[in-house]
Amino acid sequence: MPGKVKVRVVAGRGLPVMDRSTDLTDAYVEVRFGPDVFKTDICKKSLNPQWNSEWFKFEGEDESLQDEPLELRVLDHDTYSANDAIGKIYIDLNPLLTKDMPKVISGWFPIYDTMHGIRGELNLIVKVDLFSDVNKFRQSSCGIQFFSTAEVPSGYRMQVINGFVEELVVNDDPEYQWIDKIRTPRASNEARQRLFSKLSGELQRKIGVKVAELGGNAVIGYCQCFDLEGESGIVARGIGTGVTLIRPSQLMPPSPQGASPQFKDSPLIEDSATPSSPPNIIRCATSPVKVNSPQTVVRRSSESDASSTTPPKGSSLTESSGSGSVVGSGSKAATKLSAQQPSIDLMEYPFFTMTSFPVGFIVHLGGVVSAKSVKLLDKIHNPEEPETRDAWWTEIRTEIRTHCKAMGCHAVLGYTEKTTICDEIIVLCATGTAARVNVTYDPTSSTRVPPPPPAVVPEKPSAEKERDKKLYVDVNLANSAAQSSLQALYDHGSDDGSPHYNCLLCHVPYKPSSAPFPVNLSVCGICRKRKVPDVLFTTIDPPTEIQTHGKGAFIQARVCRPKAKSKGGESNAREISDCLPFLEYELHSQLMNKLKLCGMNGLYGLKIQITVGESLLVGVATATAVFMAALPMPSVPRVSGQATSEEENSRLQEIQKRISEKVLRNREKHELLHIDTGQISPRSVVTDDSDEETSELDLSSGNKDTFVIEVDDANDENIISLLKQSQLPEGFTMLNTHKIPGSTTLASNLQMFTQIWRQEFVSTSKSSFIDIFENLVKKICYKLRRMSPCCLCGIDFSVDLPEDREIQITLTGVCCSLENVSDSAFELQTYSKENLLKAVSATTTSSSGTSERDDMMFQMEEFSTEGSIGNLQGHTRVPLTRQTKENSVRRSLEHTVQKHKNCVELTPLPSIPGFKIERYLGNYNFFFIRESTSLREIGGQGGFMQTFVAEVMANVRANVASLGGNGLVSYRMNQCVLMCNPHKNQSQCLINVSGDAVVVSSEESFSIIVEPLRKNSDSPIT
Amino acid sequence: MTAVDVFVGNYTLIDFELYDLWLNGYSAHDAALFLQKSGVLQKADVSMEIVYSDIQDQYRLFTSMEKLLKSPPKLIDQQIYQMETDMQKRVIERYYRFDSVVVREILGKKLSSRNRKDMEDVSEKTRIPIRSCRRQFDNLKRVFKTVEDMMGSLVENIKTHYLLSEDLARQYAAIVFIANNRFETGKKKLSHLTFEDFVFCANQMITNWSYSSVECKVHEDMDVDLDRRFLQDLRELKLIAEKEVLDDHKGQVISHLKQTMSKKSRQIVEESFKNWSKAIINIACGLNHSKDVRDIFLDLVEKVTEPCLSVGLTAPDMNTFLSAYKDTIVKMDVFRHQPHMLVVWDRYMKTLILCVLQIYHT
Repeated sequence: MPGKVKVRVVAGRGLPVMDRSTDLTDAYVEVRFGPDVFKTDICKKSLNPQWNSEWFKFEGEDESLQDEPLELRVLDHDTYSANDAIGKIYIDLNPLLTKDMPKVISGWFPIYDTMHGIRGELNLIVKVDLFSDVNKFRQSSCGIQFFSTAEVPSGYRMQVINGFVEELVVNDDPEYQWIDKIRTPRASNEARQRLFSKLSGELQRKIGVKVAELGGNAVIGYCQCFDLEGESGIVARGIGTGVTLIRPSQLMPPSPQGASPQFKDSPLIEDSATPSSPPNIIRCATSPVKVNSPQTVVRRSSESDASSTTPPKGSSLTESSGSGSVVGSGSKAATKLSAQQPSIDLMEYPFFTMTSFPVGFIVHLGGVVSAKSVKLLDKIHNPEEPETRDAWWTEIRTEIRTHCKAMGCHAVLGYTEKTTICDEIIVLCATGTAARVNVTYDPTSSTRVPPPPPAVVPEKPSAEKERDKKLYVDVNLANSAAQSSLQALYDHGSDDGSPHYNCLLCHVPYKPSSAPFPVNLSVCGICRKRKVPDVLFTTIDPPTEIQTHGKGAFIQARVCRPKAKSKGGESNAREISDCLPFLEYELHSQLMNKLKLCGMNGLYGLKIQITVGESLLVGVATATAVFMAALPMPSVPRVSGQATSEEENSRLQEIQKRISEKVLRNREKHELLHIDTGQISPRSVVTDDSDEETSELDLSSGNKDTFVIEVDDANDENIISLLKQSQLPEGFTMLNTHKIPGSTTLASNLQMFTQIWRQEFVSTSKSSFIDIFENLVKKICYKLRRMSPCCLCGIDFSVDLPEDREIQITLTGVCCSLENVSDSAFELQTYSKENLLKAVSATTTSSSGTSERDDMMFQMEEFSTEGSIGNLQGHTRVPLTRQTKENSVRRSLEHTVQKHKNCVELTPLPSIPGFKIERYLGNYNFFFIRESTSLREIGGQGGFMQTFVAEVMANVRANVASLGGNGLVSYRMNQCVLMCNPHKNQSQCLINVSGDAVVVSSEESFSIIVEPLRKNSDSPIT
Repeated sequence: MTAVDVFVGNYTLIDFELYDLWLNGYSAHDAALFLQKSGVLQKADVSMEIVYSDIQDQYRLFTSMEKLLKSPPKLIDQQIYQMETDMQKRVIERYYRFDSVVVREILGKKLSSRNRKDMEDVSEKTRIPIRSCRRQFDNLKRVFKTVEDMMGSLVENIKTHYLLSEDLARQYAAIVFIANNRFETGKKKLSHLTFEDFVFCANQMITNWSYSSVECKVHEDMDVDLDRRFLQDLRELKLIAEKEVLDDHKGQVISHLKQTMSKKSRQIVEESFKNWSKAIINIACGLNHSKDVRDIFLDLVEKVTEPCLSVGLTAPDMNTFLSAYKDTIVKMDVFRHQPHMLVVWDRYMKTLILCVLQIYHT
């Protein structure tokens, strides 16, 4: 689709003074697209020029429309000397290339200069006219929408998941070219910025073509990375999930009849596709897996250390990838059958970059799978054919696929790929959650109806029949029956609109006897039939189906290991790869210890970041811990160790005591104290019809129940650091997931923040490293102290080791206010009332279990009922609680009203609490470079970074606003590379940010929030 | 030492406690010590390092915002710091707020960089940190330079160019007015007058005696100057100081005061009436000369308030006397040939009474 781009430069404001003699500026603008350049008139002697230019028209093929940014350059005219640059504006035209959007960008854009930052603003109007394509043979990816959001965008329905898409583009880095020696820093920065923009456009276009070939129309969970390899160039990588989205509101109302044909089709397809699944078993059997920990299946490719320079891999990997191709060819015949939804077995890489899935999609969750590989960077000889980089990633993905099979799963969810580079060493990491999924789920069920058991049942037995004979099928059926009856119980208690839990997700996807690694299995706490692991680690966001108790808790494991300085490529690579397993093991055991200490049994949003530095190797694992109802209740960790003396023995006891206290405190904090009853009661209900299998397993699980912490000596650093982990200050909750687990409900966005910390670090002890993180968290809490009570969501830590002995940590997140939280006394009362309410409406004893939900609508309904019960209980107490609630509601209301006017909200979450996403305006992805040669004058490193980050956000907001948006969701700072040279008074920084521009409206929250206030005025009458 | 430690939010939030400390000239380190003493550390259970890092963040923000604060509309237009309008207004207002003791020292001095050096003495005298004094001086100078040659209402000009509140804009207007007319305020005799006294008087003069007053028909000039025509008309008032008129006037006033004033006070008035009346009329006639305009406060104190205070006339008595003094002239029919002079008389006396009463203290 070729197109015509029309640009009009309207005015400027707040320009810098460029002419010292007059204190004014003679500004004009150069508009460039591709090879064509236009200029406006010179607006003499004004800092607020009015150009009102004509429409500048450019023509471009869709390749250039997608790849090239529109470039505007503001200059100061000088009669005698060269014209001085004021700054530049880059505009990505991609948001204008879709069909259903208003094709105009207009607004004030900050004029950005890489040396001086923002210098005034420019008012522009940009339009694109697209011609429909006449050439049917050329596949265009125009109109393929990209979403950073790692779930189905709100307002859309996912019709088909077309599969994993990836692309990799390589280029030389302008900073490392010979020309850089003779050109100005500004020219070099601008060349780089333009290149980044172009690479990003090219990457999206190529991925778009792939999606179009698969038959999709959008990419969700799109993640783009730039590997700055230095001498060997820049590698731009993009991964995402190709999908077919429809907007129900546009096509048809989401009536069940409209969608039913598809629903009818799906089981059919699945049935006919299953005969092709035998290879599945073969793969499982053959894949050899080396395992060092129960849940995180970590397997470093054993060859990588020895033959890291030779891209083609050794024996075991070839095997597994070979088997993969067998599946591919073997099941290709089935393509015709499943014209719409490709079967999971057909996907070369059954990976999903999404972290949140429609209800009914996930069948079982296996656990975290990850693969790492250490490579030596070499010169990329032919940028057009980046074979080596492609081969590296193929290797990694194949390994992930193999691990996944070993867990009895066929899909990887929440899949991410990362790299860390230090000199010529690159470590590639891929992580995801192995799972069994149902790709042909019924899309209509994604909102209201509980997952139809038939859709689940036929799929399961057919896949497992061959493995486990008939016995398994029976259990399964019985299970699903029990489960559905239990579901009925829940449904009774909580009407329509509440989440319907499904414990199936927690059940192990493999047969206990053929477990891929030693794992403690016990009986599911909900259905009492199937087996579940004692802990479940995942990289995804909390699925609505999994029932959790209490609140989520932030957990972080941090490991820092010294490493000998580089002695040359190969030996360095070997050392790193030898070190990695130990680092990972330590991370895992820290996570496990902390999880137990929280009294929880599941992890969501697990993110493991490995960073290689010159003399350090750092690993940080971040996750949100929860208590999953289906998994066994974790016991208090027991300390064991050899006490040689009486004194040591008493020390051990002391530690034991402190651990017990800590667990108790944590449970109290996360509202986990009362759940004991919730877990026992279902047992008493269900044991009547449970078979002998349950009791048998109960015995076996009994002795494995306790978690033992080994203590070498009473001063063991691990234990000390474990106990030292400080609590968050009162009124703060912290989570790293994008969905909020448990009983926490967000009311509104208060503040999106970025903290950048960098300091010299000399590794003295473990605790000094851990202190850095603890301190950072404390710092954030102190800064946000005025917003408490609040929840810090979407917390993301990123660790870099930029120079020898220096650590840089970038922390981003959003601070949200909480719904219906004012003080503890009030909360207690609500609790009792809620229970009372449950007892009235539902006769089940498991009421406390159902009381947690994150559905806002329901919460609000409860407000009103609670009010009436409160009145029954006694008049004296009611006004007080009302007051507090009213205050908290009003506070959040005021906040939202005030801010909504013309502010742009940024958030790492996929939605803005209290607001509804009306429209997505396009994916934003930009690389900013800022350099300063007068560091001292602008407040040193700190001043430089503070201004730069603020400028980046300002640019993002201006771009969102110019598209007519008022929010950016799924905001992420992908990269922040800071190079300081304080001796030369110079500094340079690169920041890459991305997200989805949206229009949000708050109409819904208004009507809801107003209600309790009105109620209050009524109460004296009743 | 920490190389980088910065916190940036999507919304720029100002910690007004720190902002005030910064405005008051506290260094980041002093501010940290101040907070430590006030018990913030204990309350929030945080280390000094964390508090210090927060202060530095805010201070860096203040410093980079200071450039914009010098021209407040820029702060409203800019996009780098996303702030709520209320907060922007508060930031501006506080930046331009001043200590009356400091401004009292600056008042009447020429707002030139030469006098900026004197800020050190001012700082010493008022015990307000030098940085804060300098900021206040610079603010005054900046506002003065912006509006001194501007047409139209002084208060409105200040409000549009500096986005200040009505109240603060009025105070600035008074300062600009005083500076522009170079009123003498620094003499030792005037040292008992406060900044608020001057602001009140100056604002009265702006509303009633300047070109923007209701009575002024020609608005060709600016607010910052006194209405020339009015000042010329004031010369005609010397009629009142003539012997026959004076005696008649005295009789009228005394009889008028019979109901409203105690006998003792009435006697005092009777004794000094001639001197006081002459002084008031002399001031009026002198306003035509710019030298005398400058000394108006000095004259008012020396010739009017001091003599009255020394004989023990109370402020309410003073009020009664002056009102009677003003009103009786109307009855006396002195200006039967110049009816417009009644307006001039009223315009002069109304403001004078208010000013005298304001400064009627020791």
